[in-house]
Amino acid sequence: MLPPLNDTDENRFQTILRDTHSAVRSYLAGLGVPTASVDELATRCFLELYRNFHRMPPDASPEFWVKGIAKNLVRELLAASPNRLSLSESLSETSSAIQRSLSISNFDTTLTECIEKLPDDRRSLLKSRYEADVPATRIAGTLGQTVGMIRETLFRIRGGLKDCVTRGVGRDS
Amino acid sequence: MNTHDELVRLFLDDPDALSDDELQLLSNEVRQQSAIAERLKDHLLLAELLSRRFSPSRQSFVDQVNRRIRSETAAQTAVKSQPVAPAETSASLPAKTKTSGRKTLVFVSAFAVCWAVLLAWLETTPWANKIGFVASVNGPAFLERNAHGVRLVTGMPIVAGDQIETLDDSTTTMELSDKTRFELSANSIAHIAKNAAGQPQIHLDHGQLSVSIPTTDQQQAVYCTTPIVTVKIAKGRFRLEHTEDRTIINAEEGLAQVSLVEPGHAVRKILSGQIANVKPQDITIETGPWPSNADRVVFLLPPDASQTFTAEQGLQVFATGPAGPFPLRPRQNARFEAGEMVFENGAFLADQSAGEAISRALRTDPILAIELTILPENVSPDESGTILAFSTDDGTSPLAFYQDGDSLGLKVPGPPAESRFLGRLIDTDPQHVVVVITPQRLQCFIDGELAADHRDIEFDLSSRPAEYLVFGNDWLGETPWKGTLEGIVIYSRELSRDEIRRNGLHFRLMRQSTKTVEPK
Repeated sequence: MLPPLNDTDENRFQTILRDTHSAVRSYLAGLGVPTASVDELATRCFLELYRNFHRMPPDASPEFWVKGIAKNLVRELLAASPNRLSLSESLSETSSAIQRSLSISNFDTTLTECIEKLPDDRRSLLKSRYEADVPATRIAGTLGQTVGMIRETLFRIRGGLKDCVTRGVGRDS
Repeated sequence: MNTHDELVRLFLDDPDALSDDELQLLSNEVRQQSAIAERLKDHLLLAELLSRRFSPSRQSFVDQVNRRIRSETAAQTAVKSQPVAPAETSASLPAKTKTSGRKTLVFVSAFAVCWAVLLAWLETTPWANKIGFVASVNGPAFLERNAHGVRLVTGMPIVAGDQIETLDDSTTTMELSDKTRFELSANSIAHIAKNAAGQPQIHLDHGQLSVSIPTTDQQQAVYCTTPIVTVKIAKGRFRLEHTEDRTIINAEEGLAQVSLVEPGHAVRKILSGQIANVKPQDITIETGPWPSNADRVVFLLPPDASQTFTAEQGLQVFATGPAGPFPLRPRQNARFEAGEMVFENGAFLADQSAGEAISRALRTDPILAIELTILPENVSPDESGTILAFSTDDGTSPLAFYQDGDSLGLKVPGPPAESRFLGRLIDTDPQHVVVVITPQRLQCFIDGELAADHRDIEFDLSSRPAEYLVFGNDWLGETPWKGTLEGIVIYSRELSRDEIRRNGLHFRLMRQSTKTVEPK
């Protein structure tokens, strides 16, 4: 159960939620949290923030604070699997090209443009894979291709998107 | 493509699909090679961004968080407000409050309206309608709610109207608030519902569903349905399997009522150890098979084993097995009566081909499991004898089961040769005994319960010579056992505790129903 916040804090919480949810969800994914679990874990982060809102120092960066909560929750979640936890810690210490590009203002527009440039069959494959988090094993059965081929194609599409996005945001910014 | 590339692709596709060893390998690579770590992180981030873009259920995250917060803060408010009776009216107010009665009445009425609105709203949230939650998910499984499909995740609430689907390589377990558990096997679809009385109901569209209901005082019945049958389960463990127009209900433990969806048929009861075979217009209830799993059975002597009697060979009882049949011949006064080996100071000796078949099987799978039902004549301290010996023709018995007073023991080959305690014989009733020997462990189960577990032991089962099986005595006939034996199975694999219990139950039910029938 959550005690409700007063109006001022509620407004501030809503601003933080709106401004940081995208970064927090990406942060969780970057730690190796499966896509299917990202939103549930991110929701728990914001519930935790709401519950202990008064504990956040006034001068703290809200995004940094919520990511701290996220990191603790991931550690808790992966405590039973030392290898997953170790992988997550390594990923946490890594900075990647997409991660650096995420903060650039035209990132979303560039990603949209890059997706639109894809041939129809590739865009359709991305939709099949990500619309309901359908794994390659199932897509392979539907398309009559091998699982390895589907995984490889998805890997190449993402690789191409990465190049397109990092070039695009770099040029426009 | 090398192994690391494959692991990266597999992790990106389904992180739960990697084994511990594969995860360790990937984790080491990521730690040691920053280029791999950067590439993996880029793909993880892109996968997340693509998922948010393509998945409609992920595009209202802020609303979802706010709904969750409202749901939890509303529950807090409701708890705090509970002492006020919402149904209280002016008629029930004391007369002395009438002066301020109008204000109170307005306040109470307003509160009652708010309360009703709040409850009505809570009813619409998934958390209020929650029937249970997802306790575990192995592999990719899916939930469909309000025409939106999402990947099933551990901890998700389950509400009436949900559809759960598993694929070829996935399973999931759901748990209700009363600890009832449903396990949906691979390639199955089930719907969650509440019946008119508000009781949880799970409908198996196709596939396999296991239900486990704990025994508690407040336990309510659970209803499981398939397109052709309704099963009301009071307690215990049941397994349902539905394919096309047929449902098989396996009562592993407990009691259930089975009724056809088509009206006009009587309700049938199904008990532990029974299997109901349901067709759209017919329910057949029979005892479960014994042994319940015939995989890697090397030697089987059922109560209805075939027998011959010839002048040359005398009595022969035939055990079966992939390399059988294996003749067993009595020594002295031993006889095979109503499915039991009765020894009378004699013994039964299996043909050498049985020992050869066991030896061959152990060379491939060095695990030996022996299942038998024993009926000791008595369990007094001075009783002793060899129940089953694996003997060589020089008279030694390197492996032998024996009774010593009220104890059951196993003589194990050395060096050094020694005896191990297997369990306590409580009385002279039939006792279902299973002994499982692996290269470094010896376990004994009596009537389904673990009676002994030795881990400080070493067996080399893979290079055992072909031995003679002697039942009721040793090779030399020096340690006769007073008792009878029945239902003997030798496997070259381990048995799970569930399988052991099931076998004991099925054998007992089978014997109860056939005890009066003459063997063939």
